[in-house]
Amino acid sequence: MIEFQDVVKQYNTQTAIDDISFTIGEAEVCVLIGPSGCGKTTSLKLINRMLEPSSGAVLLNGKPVGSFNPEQLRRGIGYVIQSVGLLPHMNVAENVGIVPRLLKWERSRREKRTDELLDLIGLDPGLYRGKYPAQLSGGEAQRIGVARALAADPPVLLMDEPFGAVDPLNREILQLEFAVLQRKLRKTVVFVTHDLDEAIRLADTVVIMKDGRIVQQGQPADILAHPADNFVRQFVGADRALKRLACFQVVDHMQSAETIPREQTAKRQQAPNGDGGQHPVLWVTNADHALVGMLEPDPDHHSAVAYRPYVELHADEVGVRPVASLREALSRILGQGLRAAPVISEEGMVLGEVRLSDIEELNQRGIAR
Amino acid sequence: MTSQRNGGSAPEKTTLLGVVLMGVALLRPLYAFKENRVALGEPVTLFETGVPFGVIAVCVLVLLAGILAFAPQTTRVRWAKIAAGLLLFSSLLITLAVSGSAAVAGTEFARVTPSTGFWLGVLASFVLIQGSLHGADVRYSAKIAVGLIPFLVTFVPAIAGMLDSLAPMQEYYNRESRFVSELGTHLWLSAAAVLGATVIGVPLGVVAYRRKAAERPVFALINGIQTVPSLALFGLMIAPLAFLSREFPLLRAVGIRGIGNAPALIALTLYALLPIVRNAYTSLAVIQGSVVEAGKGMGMSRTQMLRYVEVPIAVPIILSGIRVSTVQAIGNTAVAPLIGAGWLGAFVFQGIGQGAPDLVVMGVLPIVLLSVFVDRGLAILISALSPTGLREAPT
Ligand SMILES: Nc1ncnc2c1ncn2[C@@H]1O[C@H](COP(=O)(O)OP(=O)(O)OP(=O)(O)O)[C@@H](O)[C@H]1O
Ligand SMILES: [Mg+2]
Repeated sequence: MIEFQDVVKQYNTQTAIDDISFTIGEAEVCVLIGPSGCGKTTSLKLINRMLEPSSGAVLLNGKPVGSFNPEQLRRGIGYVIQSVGLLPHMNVAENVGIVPRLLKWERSRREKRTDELLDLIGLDPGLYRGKYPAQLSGGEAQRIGVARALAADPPVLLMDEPFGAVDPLNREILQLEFAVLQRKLRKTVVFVTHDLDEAIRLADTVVIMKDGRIVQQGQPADILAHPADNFVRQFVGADRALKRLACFQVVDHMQSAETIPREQTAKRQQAPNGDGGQHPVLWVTNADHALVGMLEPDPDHHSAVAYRPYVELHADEVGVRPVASLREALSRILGQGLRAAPVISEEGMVLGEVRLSDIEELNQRGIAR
Repeated sequence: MTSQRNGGSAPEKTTLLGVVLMGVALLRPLYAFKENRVALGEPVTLFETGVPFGVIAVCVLVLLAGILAFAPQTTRVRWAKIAAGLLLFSSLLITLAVSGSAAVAGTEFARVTPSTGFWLGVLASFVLIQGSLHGADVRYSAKIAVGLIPFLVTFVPAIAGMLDSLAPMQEYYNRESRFVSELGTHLWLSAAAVLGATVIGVPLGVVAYRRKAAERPVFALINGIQTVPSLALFGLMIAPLAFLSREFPLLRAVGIRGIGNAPALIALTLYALLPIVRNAYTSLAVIQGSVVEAGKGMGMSRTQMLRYVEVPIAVPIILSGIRVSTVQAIGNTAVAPLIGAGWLGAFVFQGIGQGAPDLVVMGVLPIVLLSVFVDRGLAILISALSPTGLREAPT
């Protein structure tokens, strides 16, 4: 657990951190975000004593960090620096293994750990182990920087824009991997970024900073629903309602779906029955229970339930995974012009559906509070 | 390489240069025959040597190199050019030795002096070899092997006495024992100067980097020293040292006088400073802030930072400064005789004074060879000491 108590940090005359207090819980991911120069990096460096506060204190597990030996402290805190800072004369394996080496691990243990970590960040150990920093792309170097911070399995991680130089596609993959990993490793993470989507995806709590002060902190969904002031409103952007949907997972808002086998569609169209339109879409499956198409109720029809003609569907175009966000589900719904999106298992089976009406309601509730 | 795109149309320029040089060399005398040490020589061209084997070999090799200049520069063609260059050098030397021995046979003081034709031919050989090695994907050990062949081709016959007819060899025989001791002095004096400059220069470079206030004065001073001509610097040393020597008998007792070794050593040390200070400064400047910060952030102590980060990055750069200084010092030491110190340069000045160019050659050649060997040797050493990630092929 990390706690900032009335921390002020001045460089000569400039005040970089102006009296901030906040707490980061055990096993929590706290994302610091804000415009360039607002003091994010400075805050991180106060935690591992790369900088000392001008006044106030930073506590780690209840003890002021000032009471620890700085070198011991830092070896127990993984640190990904903003400018990566790989040692140019050491190859990837040596760079990743540097903290274990400082901690005097045996060579075999170090090598095993290095390969494990390279696998983890998605770089083939056989190919990358012996490369030198000058031979890496910016994104690869950053990932090595992350692996290096994880090497000694520290309980606390400080990450200063760790994915800043990675392309959007790989960045998203890394973020998802990080989220999965974090669920397993449960580290206390302080994560700095400029990227609001990244913050939303990863954060348990977000701390928005400006000019060395905290302007708002809380869960991402709350901040998006209720920006504290104009600065935050502008910062999170006009599409904050949409961004907020990214905070919710499909699996938590899934409803049961109605499915029928393909061969029964004709019969059903001739003799409509069922729940009277409670299910916005009827999903059609094949013999393997995989999604192949749908029947949509025709609201213009006079009778209570009538269906439009059968429509063939591709599961990976309309379906969403349980782990996907509601934002993605909404995008699918709008993309298909439907009133729901099917939730699909890896094998293409229909697990349930996400309804447009539920998303609307969730949005209403968030804003109303 | 651009040469690889030639496809047989445009000639490879370096090779062509070698061929042209050799063409000119053929028109110039290969050597001059002298009745005695100071006699005027009679010029003898390659075609007048009476060594048909040599004439044929040289002509064939020049022709071959000319053809190869127009061929696509594949690895095989490059090696062929290297071989041609090595053979050209050997042929010239053998022709010179055979013809020279025949010319001086039966005389007592006669000798032959290698002439412009020979030196141009040597230059042409090296242009061929170096031009083909440069930028080629050749392993460093192979380059060293190729570089050593000309020395073997020269030293083995020289030791076997086959080059005795050559005037520089005669000059050498006349001064053999002095030569060895002068060579030794030359070496230790250069080494002492570089050692002194290292002991002073490395801390100076570090201070110049760490204390911004010291940076300008330090560099102004050592740059200033470099601009003083060596003779003037040697001269400047005479008066104060003579004074010290007069005033302090102790200093006189250890050999410090206005002329001789002491002022030379001081001057040489001062000259050797610049590359060492500059590289020591640079070696720290290239260590990026981010690297130091990363090291610190991972929990390195001050000594661990030195051991894992600063020394591995800085030492190769400092060593290459020392290498430059050493080569410079070997050359500068040649000027030392002017203030009463001896060494190899003494032969050069004697030769000039006596109007005996062969003696000059005898003095200059070892200085050049010494520089080349020390330079290569240090380059290999530095490369071996550099961490792999920062290593470049020795240059
Ligand atoms: N060593 C220093 N000396 C003086 N001022 C500094 C120093 N380091 C940072 N600052 C100043 O402190 C303020 C906060 O810097 P900090 O590096 O924490 O910003 P940041 O939020 O990390 O910005 P960015 O997103 O651009 O990385 C900036 O105005 C910066 O100019
Ligand atoms: Mg920063």
